[in-house]
Amino acid sequence: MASAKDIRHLAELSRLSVSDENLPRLAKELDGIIAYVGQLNELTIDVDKTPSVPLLHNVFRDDCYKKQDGVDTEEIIKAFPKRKGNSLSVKQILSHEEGK
Amino acid sequence: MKKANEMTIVEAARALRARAFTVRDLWNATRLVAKEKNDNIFAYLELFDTDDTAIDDAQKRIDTEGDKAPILCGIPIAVKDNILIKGKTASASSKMLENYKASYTATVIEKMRAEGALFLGRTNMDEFAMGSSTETSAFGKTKNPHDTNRVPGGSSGGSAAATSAHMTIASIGSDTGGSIRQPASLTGVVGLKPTYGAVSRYGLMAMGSSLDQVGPLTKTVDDSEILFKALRGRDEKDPTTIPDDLYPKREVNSTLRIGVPRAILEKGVDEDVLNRFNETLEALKLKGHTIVDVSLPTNAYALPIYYIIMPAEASTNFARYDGMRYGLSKHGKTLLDDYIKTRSEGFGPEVQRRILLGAFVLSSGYIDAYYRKAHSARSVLVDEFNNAFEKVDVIATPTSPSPAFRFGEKSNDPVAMYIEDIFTVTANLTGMPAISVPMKMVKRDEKPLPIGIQFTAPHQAEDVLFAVGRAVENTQLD
Repeated sequence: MASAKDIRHLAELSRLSVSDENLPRLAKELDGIIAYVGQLNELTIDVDKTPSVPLLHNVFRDDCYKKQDGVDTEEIIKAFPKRKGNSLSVKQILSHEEGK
Repeated sequence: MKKANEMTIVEAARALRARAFTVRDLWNATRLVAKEKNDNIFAYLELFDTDDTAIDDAQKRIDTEGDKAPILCGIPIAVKDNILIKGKTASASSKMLENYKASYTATVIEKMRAEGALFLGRTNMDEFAMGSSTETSAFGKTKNPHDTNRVPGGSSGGSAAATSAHMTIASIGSDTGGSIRQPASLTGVVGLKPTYGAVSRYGLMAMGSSLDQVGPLTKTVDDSEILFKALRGRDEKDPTTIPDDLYPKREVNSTLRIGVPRAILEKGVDEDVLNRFNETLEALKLKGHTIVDVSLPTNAYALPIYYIIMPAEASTNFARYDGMRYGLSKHGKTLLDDYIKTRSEGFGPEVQRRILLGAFVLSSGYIDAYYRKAHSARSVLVDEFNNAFEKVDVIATPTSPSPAFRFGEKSNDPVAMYIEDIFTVTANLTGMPAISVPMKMVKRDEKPLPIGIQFTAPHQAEDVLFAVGRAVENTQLD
């Protein structure tokens, strides 16, 4: 059973806020889903089994810079919510003291 | 003659070459119907302005190259709103990207554009492709053209409804767990989920990166093949695209061995749907195809496996929507507040649910029981399918367990909604291609509703799917 504490913890990990109002509904829904996917416990299989024919294949390429300079750059900069010149402007990461 | 907008790609291409109408006539006729019907159906979030240069260029190619012009030349196509066209809004039907203009163009768009295709507009979808009814769109509900009290399926519900209501000639969508095939089934069109890696995903917004594929929604199997062949191929910009000969080549025999996993059809399938399914198999048998029972024991667990792996991958992919570089950006006191405010206001309930679920199945203490277990079970499933394909050419199931349901019928019960995907998620887990083709209609409230049959083939055996799909279309003519 997902407790209020569990949900708050998952939300914190996910960078989401869950209102007190939505918490009971969300707990009920997640419980339902987790119970459903928990059917998998009925299966007895080796953990760490990989398919005989792999689904993914390694792809190698030359270790070099491929992007043509300037292609899409303007558009990417235009999408920045906040910028200084051509740089992306973000809040200070290491300290949250006000006024910095 | 059929109205221009009602034509298939094949018919419209033929009419353009026969000078029955011009590229501009086709564009105007299709766009007009799309605009008129959109107030009611709401298949499109936006219809694009007429691009005179593209229309003139396409016409010039048809005039000068004639039959040598690419078949998509001058054909209007609708595009799901999670596929980027530089300079156009790409919102994924989410408030998070409501005002986001694509910074670059998806490879699938470049490929169709190179053939002279025209883009009609961007179609409505479940938010970030999470849903099976298009009800989770932040911008409104798309209606099923066959009964407007019912959902068109999802998540590519807009693309499916647009194709079904002849508001386009054809569409493209994306399919992570059935998002092309299930809406195709519910609106009566053909939907193809290609082999994992067959089509480039450069410029497709990622949900579950080991599952996502782009594919066509079309009026016929022939059109599906045409669009698939235009979209497919290795792309340097997407390292998960595969070379043409990665898997052993499969012969397309004139009579096919069709495997049916009877065990998973025993419960949970609507009676009318099961009857249609059996009738379709019977009709195929009369045409000389063989029906074979196949055993796929782990298939019964495909949906739980999927609803562990997909949220795990989605929660990881969705970390990118943090309000820093593009899209919605909300501000609080600290950087952490910025992240939380942006994500909590930008994502709707289903997206938030899947992110939390993903965080759960990956968190310490649960990762072995859920994510790793699902990962191993997925491997068993792949082996079971590969073994089955030693005896059969394709595996058949209904595409969805029931015809289109009413609005609101499942939107308050996530598990009931997830069960819509019970037959479709398997192909995404195995990476194998699968197609949904309309069967004869079923009736609900006196209204005929479409329902699809799904075929799965071994990796890179799309040609076998087109063959069996055409066989089903032929049985409908009898």
